[in-house]
Amino acid sequence: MIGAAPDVSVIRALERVPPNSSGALVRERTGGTIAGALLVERGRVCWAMSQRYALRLTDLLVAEQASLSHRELEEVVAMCRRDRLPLGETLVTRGVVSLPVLQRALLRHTCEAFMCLLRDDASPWTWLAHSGYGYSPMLTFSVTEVFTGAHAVERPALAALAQARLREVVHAEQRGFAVARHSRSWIPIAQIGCEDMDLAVLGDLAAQAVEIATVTATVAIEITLVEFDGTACGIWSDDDTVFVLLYDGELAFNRLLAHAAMMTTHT
Amino acid sequence: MNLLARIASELPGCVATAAIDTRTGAVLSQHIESDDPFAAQALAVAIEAARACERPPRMVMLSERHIQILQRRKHEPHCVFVALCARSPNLGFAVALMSSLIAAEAP
Repeated sequence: MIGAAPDVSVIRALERVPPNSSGALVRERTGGTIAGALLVERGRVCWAMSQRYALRLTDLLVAEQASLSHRELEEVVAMCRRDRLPLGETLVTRGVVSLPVLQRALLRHTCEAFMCLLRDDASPWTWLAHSGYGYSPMLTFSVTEVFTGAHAVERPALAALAQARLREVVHAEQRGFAVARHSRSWIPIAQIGCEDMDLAVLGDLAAQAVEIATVTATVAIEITLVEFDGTACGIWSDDDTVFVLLYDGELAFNRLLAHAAMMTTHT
Repeated sequence: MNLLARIASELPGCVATAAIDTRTGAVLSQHIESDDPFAAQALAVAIEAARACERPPRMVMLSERHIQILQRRKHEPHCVFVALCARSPNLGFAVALMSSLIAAEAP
């Protein structure tokens, strides 16, 4: 039930990719040149490239970590080329960047390049199977992470606010996501802990959450708690964003109720 | 005593109760305990919310001063019971009590 969005074609293409397989979803231009590709390793996205995307990973690493210099990074890049070492792992093992910084930069690069590729006037997506690229699993991303990140690229200010709000509310071992209320798509713009959720399941939850938030907003309901298939969902909204907090497991609804009561206590 | 009256009498701070047919949105029965102006509006929203989503067994809505509990009848899932109560510190008790009262009515 994911709404009409420009990226429905790639969701459908990814759905056709055999589970746990490796390869590339490629788009070509009329002349046969490659417009770009989304590289997939064992079902996880490891890189996106687009002829229209000019930023390099090193640019994003410098933006993420002010203490880094382009020169320092270029030296490591040159060494990795010379000695055929994997760049990401080398940057981390040599202490040039931390793993979270590298993951954030990689995800941002992948999402921004992916959005450029989506907008390219190129052919439909073609799947080319591959034996694998050798990316470390910790430097690859779920389809849900990439789509959420790509939507965040579209609305950076709203996504940053939503992510900050989720960090305040979603505690350890909980999950939550945020969706833009007036978006044409139910793909989240921010999430915590939902990386491995199926994108279609997340989209269905988001669609129902927006519907409930719209109905309940008319009488100043602060938060609505709903049970869907054993998952307890707390739904609330700010002006432009609908948030969903997810609880699973034993007494999920009761634990969520206690959390919601604390969130909405007026002193 | 019918179920709505029983819910109203046993739930602390209960303002109103209703039974809704989610297929039509019709209020099958209702029991208003006080003249709280919020009650009619809140019941209307409860009907919309119960119909809007794909049959969750229960919903709870929290506002600054009220809690609304929507509980679907297990053997008659199109029938949703709604209770509107003044908000108290022990929300879990109200939700559990409502659930057990409805379950106890099952044939």
